[in-house]
Amino acid sequence: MNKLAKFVKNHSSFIIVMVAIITVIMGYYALQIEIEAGIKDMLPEDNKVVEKYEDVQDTFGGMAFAVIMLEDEEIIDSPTLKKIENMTAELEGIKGVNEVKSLTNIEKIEGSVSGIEVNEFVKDLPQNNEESQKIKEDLLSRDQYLGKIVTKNFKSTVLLAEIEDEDKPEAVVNRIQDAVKKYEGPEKIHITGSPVMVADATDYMKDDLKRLLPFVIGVILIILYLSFRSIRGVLLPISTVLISVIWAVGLQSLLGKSLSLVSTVLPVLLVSVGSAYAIHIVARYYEELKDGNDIDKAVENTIKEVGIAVIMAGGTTMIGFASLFFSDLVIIQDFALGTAFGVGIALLAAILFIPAVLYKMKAPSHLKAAEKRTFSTNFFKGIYKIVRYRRRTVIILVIILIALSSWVLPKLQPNTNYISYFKKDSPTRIATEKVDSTFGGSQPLNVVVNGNIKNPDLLKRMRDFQDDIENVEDVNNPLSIVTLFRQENRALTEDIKENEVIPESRNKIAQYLLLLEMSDKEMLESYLTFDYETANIQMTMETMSSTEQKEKVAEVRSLIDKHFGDEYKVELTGIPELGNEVTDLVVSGQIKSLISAIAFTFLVTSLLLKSIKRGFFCSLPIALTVLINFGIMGWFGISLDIATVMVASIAVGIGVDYSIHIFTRYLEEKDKKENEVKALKEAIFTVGRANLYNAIAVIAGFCIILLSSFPPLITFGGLTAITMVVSFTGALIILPSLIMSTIKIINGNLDEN
Amino acid sequence: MKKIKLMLTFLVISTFVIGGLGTAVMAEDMTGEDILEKVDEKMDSETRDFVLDMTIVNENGQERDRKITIKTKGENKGLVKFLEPGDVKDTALLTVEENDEENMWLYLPALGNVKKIASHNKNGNFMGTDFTYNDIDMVGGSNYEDDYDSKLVGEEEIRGNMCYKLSTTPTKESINYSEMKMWVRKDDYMPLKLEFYDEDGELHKIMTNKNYRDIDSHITPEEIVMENVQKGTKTVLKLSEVKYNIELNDKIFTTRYLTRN
Repeated sequence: MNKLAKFVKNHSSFIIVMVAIITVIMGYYALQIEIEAGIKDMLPEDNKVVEKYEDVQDTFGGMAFAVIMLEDEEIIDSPTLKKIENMTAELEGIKGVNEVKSLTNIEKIEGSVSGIEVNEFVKDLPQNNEESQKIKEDLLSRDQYLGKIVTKNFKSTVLLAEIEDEDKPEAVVNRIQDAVKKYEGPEKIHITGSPVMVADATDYMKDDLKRLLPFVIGVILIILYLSFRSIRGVLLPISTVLISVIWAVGLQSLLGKSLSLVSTVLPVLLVSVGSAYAIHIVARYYEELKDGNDIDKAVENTIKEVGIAVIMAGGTTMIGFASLFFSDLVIIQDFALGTAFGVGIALLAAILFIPAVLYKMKAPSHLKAAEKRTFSTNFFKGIYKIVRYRRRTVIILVIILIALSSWVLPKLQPNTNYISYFKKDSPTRIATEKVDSTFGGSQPLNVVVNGNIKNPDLLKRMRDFQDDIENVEDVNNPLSIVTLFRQENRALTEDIKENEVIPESRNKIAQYLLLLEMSDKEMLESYLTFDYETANIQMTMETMSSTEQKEKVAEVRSLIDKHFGDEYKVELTGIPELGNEVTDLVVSGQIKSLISAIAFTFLVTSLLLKSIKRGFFCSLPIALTVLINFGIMGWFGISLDIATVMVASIAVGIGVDYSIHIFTRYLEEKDKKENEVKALKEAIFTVGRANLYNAIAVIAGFCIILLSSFPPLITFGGLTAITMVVSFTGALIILPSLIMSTIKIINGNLDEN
Repeated sequence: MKKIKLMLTFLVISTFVIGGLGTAVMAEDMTGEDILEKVDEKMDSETRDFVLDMTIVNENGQERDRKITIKTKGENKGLVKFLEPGDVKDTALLTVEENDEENMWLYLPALGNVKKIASHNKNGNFMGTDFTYNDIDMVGGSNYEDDYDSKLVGEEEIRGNMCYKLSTTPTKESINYSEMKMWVRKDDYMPLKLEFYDEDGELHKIMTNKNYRDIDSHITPEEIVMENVQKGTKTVLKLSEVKYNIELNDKIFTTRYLTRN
């Protein structure tokens, strides 16, 4: 640390200039950061589930649809149909929209007196009730679109707009939303579908960033001022966190990464977490000045005395964040990288940049910063009393908390459903629930069957599977070549529903196919590959919790096994499958990153404090914090999602700092005072203060995340804030209580002499 | 059904434009309309009978082969019959135009009966190929002069042959092409290449006629390729067993004959 202090003193100008230059460069990149909110962005590119999804998408076309739902007393009348016709035309003209399916352009295979035709359902707008009635009867007699494009009561209909680039749908979705707006009234219009959800999430993210970042900066400024009552005490710490935010975001941008749903909180988090290191440095600097040291000596002592504690605290925080890298979710890995790097920068800025600036500055005009505040002094007196006289109660309470938390651990459930990213009253969620309840879901689910479709056995199995799917609740609208063959057969024979059967010989299948190809080649492309070797059964699924969704998909899988067995290779994919994968990875990642966070923290503290026992002491409050975090989640029914999954690791990384500061100060004082009880008291009263400011800043930062638009982030902010309170209490009360008890056991008394 | 009929006419135009007689008109005097008329003039043959090997290639290079026979008589009778693959063998389409009314029948062997059919989808592809009914409309449309403007825009060399370059634009809004360019060999009025442009003015498809041979004084391309440059798909038509002006009994063009193998 001596060397470090010297280095900073000799190179202070160099450090300041370098930091300024790099910050400008990183700032340039930071401003170009992109925001992405897609489900696929969460998963690794080489993930098997993603690969399968993309394969199917390449083969059979897009699965990403914007769903525009119209509600009216009567859909099948001239004004509404005219409106749908106009909307369809306008949507088709929007750049980025591949194709629009609506009541006015859907086709049917028709068997009329003149033979087989592929025609539009609504050839001409109905001019009177009678014509409307005819269209309705026609629709009612065919399953292909009933309940899918229009409801049985003809009060709701949907337009499906296929989005070209589902990974970046914002621009095209915004154009769709703008275009649709003017058609509103008297019909009610709702817009949803996975690209719309992604686009809406992106909008909310931008909004979050714009709102929360200035807010957190303001709050930290106030806390810093109240803590130090001096301009440099405010400006120095805030500059280090801003530097760390700029570098961290700049690095993400340089690496070609974008901000995700979880990393929108990265700037907010860095501002509040990163301020801790500067707070400890500045607090110690004032303390040293108050002890009568000159500037050079004060800065030097600061680096020497708290440098190691700050590095340890920052190091463990980095480990906490970095341990999230063990998650299998790309967005959490990126978040781990960004926060670990950002914390590292905040740490370096605190021990290099702040001292460099302090060397260059004159002595402060007043030392209010180091003066004892009655409030905090009384606060620490109270704490010391608890540690000294109530430590048994503390330990019993801890044991009760451990028991209560362990009790609910098995109840923890993952939930990563995309719709849960939206507040209950958000238009996106309302629209999605509306479409789900009216049209049987907006999430596409696909079953891909490998085998030659001209094989009558395979076709029969597909039919039976599809018929069984009709009976599975929440999985709806199965559509495949089977559906087309049924209609074709009806068209080629007598026009009655009983004739909706599939061809049962190889030649008949081939000839039916040939006829379909001759009528409308494109119609087949969504259901069958060019070589007839792969068929696609499309379905839709309603939105539900992750657990229910897994069960539902498992039910579909068991039907696949029942009908196709081992004879055919059949694959299942779709948005729900991606969601399930996210859920699985959330859980596996939680276990991996939590274990590694605790293990690394224990290892690092043991190494730095040169004792396994001390490492264990430091890690103890944090293990408790993690347990209580899961306890709270269990008791309040909070599920593990992409954000709450990070709380434990973050709690470990940040929370252990408080213990480290208390423990190192205790050891430092023990060497000086040669009395353990006095040393502990001193540690609580001095470091306790910096710890308190630090904890208040961090807790305030996490509380600001409560104002986010995303429920998972709100929960994340609240939970992390609580874990901070717990780990702060753990460091200031539980850890000293344990030390005190140990002293009592070893020395037999608690004398302060 | 009109479309199928037009398809037949279209194939006739591109296949049977005969040049053997070599009626030379000075190029300087020719207008675009004149040249097309010339192309039109030379397709005269009472009957045609040939086998067509169709290879449909998708954007991944996968191929689908089909073999059909086409028989036509006059301007109003046509019969298409599938020879291969085996599972669609004998599937047949019959087109007959009577009193300005076009009728079309389909025979599916597996169904065992003849159905009168209609197909109005103008975006549909002829037999699943890259030829759409629109293409057929464009080249073989009976109201050609009303629907299109044709201009001679220059002379260019195609595969070593001097050609007239024609630019044809539709005047009717419902036709979703913006332009068709056509290269017609000066010597014999054989169209060597056609380019179709979409509504945005982008090149959509290219058709090339290759390997002209003299069959019964009718110069006939052995191969016609239609390439959809936007989708990356392609259809190759190979002609064989080509016969002109042979005796074809009217019975062949009846629904009863459809069911006979």
